[in-house]
Amino acid sequence: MRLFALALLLQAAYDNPREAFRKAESLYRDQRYAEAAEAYETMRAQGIEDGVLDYNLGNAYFKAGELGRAILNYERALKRMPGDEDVRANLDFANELLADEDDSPPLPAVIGWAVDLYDRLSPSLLAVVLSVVFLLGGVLVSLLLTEHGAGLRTAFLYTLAVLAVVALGSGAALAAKIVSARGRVEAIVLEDNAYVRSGPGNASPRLAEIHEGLKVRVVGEREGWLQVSLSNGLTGWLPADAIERI
Amino acid sequence: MRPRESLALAVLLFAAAASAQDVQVEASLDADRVGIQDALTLTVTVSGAATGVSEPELPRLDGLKVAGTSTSTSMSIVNGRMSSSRSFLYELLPQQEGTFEIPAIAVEVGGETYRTKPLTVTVVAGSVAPPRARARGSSPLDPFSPFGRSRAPDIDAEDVFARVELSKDHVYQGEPLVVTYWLYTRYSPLGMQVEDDPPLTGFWVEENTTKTDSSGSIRVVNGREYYAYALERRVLVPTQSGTLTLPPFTFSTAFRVTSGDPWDLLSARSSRPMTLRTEPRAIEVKPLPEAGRESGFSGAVGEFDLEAKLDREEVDAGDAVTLTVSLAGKGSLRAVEAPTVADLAGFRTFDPKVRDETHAGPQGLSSAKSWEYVIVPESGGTKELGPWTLQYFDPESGRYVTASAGPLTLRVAGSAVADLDRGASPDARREVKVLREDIRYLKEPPERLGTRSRPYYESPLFYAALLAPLFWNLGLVVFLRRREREKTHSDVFRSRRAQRMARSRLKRAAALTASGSKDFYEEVAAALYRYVADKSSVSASGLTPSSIDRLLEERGVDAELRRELGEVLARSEEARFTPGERTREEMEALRDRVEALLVSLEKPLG
Repeated sequence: MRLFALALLLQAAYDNPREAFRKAESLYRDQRYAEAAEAYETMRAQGIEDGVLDYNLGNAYFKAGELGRAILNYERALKRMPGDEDVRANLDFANELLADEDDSPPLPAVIGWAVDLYDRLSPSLLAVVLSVVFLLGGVLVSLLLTEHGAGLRTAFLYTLAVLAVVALGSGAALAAKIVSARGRVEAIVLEDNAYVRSGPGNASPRLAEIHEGLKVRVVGEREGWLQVSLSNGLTGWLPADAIERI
Repeated sequence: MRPRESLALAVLLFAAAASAQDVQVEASLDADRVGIQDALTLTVTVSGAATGVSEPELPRLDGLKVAGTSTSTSMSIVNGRMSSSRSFLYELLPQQEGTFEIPAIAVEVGGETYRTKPLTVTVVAGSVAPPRARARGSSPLDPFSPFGRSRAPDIDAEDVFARVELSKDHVYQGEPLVVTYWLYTRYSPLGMQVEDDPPLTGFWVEENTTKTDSSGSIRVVNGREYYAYALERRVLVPTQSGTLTLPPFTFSTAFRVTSGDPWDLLSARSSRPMTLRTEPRAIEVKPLPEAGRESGFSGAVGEFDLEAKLDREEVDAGDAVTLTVSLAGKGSLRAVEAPTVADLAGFRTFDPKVRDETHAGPQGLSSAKSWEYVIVPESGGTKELGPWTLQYFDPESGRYVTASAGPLTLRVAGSAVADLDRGASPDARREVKVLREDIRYLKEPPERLGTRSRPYYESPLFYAALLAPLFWNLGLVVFLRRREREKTHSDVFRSRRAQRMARSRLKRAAALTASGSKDFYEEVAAALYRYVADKSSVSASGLTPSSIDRLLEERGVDAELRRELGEVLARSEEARFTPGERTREEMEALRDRVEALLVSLEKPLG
């Protein structure tokens, strides 16, 4: 009876996610990285979904030497908290260690800035911006309908135009984010090295050799094989278990 | 074959035949017994061959060192026969005492190899007193001797010699000694060239040796006066114990020789260069005694003073102070480590700046070495620093001596320094040094941690926020339009009703005509005001005759009608406010005029 109570207590302690976090962190601090990663994976399996969990799991994998899984989890963390500097720093650090060079062409400064901004804004933030803009715009339209003074009407119209631009931008970004999140098109290579083949199946000729941690885009799927496109524009097929979607 | 070519061939054949017949190769020494301080000349002479003589190959010579070579050739044609002799002269320096053999020397002449006979030479200590043939300035093979004339004047070997002088020949390991190479001469030397200066083993040679002065001093040796010139002076520090050998120092110099007559300055001539060398010397190097040596012995040998000082005696906690520990005296300090710094607890210290100066002179070495520490007191109070000690060996007394300095007192004002400015003294501030890059550390779990909640952009609230403005504005539009329509409706109604209302008022007014009441005029005016107001969708209360006129003008009512209306209104006003009875006829006439007005206004205001 007392044993049962103790077991219940332990179970309760483990069920407490903060307690589990603490435990995993102490494993990490003791440099038992693989065990720490396992602890975080268990928490995820229990249904905890949080950017911090992804980030810590990425750290544990990184220290355990699993670069691909580290990058995968950093990317997941970034999806959940796009503005987080720690995640970004560690992802950049991990990407420095990649065997494959990123040979995507450099973007012009303005576009690069826009892409960076897009990357850093979370869909929730965009949604909040969009709602605020809509509510403000609604108020302005109401004022326009009832106000007859010419000066005020012009001011309202200009404000409304600005709001419309913001709404269009944030709405488009939000839509793009939702679509890409639903599609889960990005994936990370988890195997040390994998061959991109010209078709599904090991009989197809090899097109390229890629290594752990590389980010690819999944564009198609067939019988355990995924059609992917690389940053340099190359498209080919990889076995589905060589990569994991973000 | 043309004549010229055949002649050349004949000459060649002749020469070859001659060389084959009469070639002689000989080797000779100018002395077979020399002192180790002397030099000797080996001459290899090839005679009888005009061409095709190659340089002899000297075998390895034991105990002798080749210091220089020169060649001379003489040629003569006698009775149509060409005879030539070619000499190779080697200047040899004995390296050690003993009897040495110069083996056969091979010389290739015209494709054939000739060998000389082996020679022997005996090397004895010192210098062989009888002047050597060479010292007289002529050798049998001197190219000028056949002409019976010696170009260079004679130098008496007793008048010129070299000496080495040691400041001490019994030293302790690490104790500097001064070596001076002297030239003793009764003539004036003309320049000096070092011929052989073997490397010294077992010594550290101080590079900073001061230059010797070129003016000589007069010294008396064996009752004879000599000019003594210090050619080279070095400070040596023995790095090992035992008997160390100072090898001979060889140099050559020429002299200015006069006849001795003070008036005969013009007769002064330069002698042939002479090669002179010093005797090898043994130096006894004693190891440092074990007795009295402490474990922290610095290695310094000599006589030194230790000093410690602070640049300030009072300072605020957290401010930097410079502590200088310096060691100066006679002897070498090159290898000496900083004296043990006494406990500096309560101070932050930084690596010292080390200054090292060594001066080598005729008296030996004088050295100064200092260590400059930047120290920062971390708390207030009076601090005692030191004392510092350093043990060195004094070779004069043959004992170990301990020098000490301090203790020093430092008064520190203020209390403990905050940890904030740890790690950087004012003097040693530097950039954050990246030792290694690493990923950032784990994050704390957020306050609200749990299962995934529906993101805001998927929540009904978001959609509500997007749709709400649309709905409320649609509602607003509908409301505004209805109100507008209602407003329009009522105006039309009023307008339509206006005639009827006006007529009913007129009827009521007609009822008042019988009583002759002035209320009649009020009704009539009201009927008109009300009518225009209803027709124009304005309130009747604010209307005046002039505003009615303006209103009607706007709606295009002609001036005749407006004047009639104004007249009617004026008449009724006047009747209302002037005393006196109004006749019934008068009232009825006014009523008719109003009726007529209503009819005629109905059309433009319709």
